[in-house]
Amino acid sequence: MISWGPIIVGLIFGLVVGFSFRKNEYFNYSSLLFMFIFLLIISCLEGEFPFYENLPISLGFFSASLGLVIGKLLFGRKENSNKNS
Amino acid sequence: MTNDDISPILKIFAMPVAFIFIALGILTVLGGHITPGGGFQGGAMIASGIILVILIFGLNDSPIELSHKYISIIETLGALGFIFIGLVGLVYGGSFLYNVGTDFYSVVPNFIVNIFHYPDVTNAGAVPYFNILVGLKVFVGLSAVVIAFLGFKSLTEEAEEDD
Repeated sequence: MISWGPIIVGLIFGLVVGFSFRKNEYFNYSSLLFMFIFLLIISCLEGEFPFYENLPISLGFFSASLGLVIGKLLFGRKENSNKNS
Repeated sequence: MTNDDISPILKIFAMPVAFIFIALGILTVLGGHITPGGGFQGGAMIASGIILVILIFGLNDSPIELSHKYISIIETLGALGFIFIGLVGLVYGGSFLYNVGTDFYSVVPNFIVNIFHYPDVTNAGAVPYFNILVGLKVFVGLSAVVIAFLGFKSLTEEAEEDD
């Protein structure tokens, strides 16, 4: 049985945090792809923690990392607002 | 304030570690009702990831930028959301912060129970929503403290250079 609560809320929480990300010379799209694959591996290593589902993956962690990546790609900051002020 | 003298190794290392901190913090917030942790602990973990990046890159060049508007919106959302769910418990359950998602005393209408019932294998009701709102508030609050200190430090340095 899949619990939809941590999937949906983790995605929304990740989107909210991902709003504040900005691209720079050390953080670009390729590093974003690397981090997503890295977080996918970590969520597989965590197993079904903490909701004890039948899938061998931590769905809350995975949806949070997916939300971070999507939040950066769709809504992330385009430019450094500190330098403009 | 920029950190030009920080090693590139640290700068390359910072964002993946911050991603892990933030995702683990969100997981701690979401599992707060059945595992050790909760809103404050998870929010502090998310803030630690953000603070790590801000300390390494500096306030102006950081890839994670929390603006004043963003901080105020999230902080307000967390506080008002907590009070709102507490008031729903007061109106329908008779006491502030009554768990309207679980409704142990069967006094809340069914449609309110369905709205505030967290879709989970546990019957936690509205408790995860409290954790989430506290987590939102804590992660921006703790990050704002460090951002304010760094801003004060850069202002002090500019004032000393002027003197």
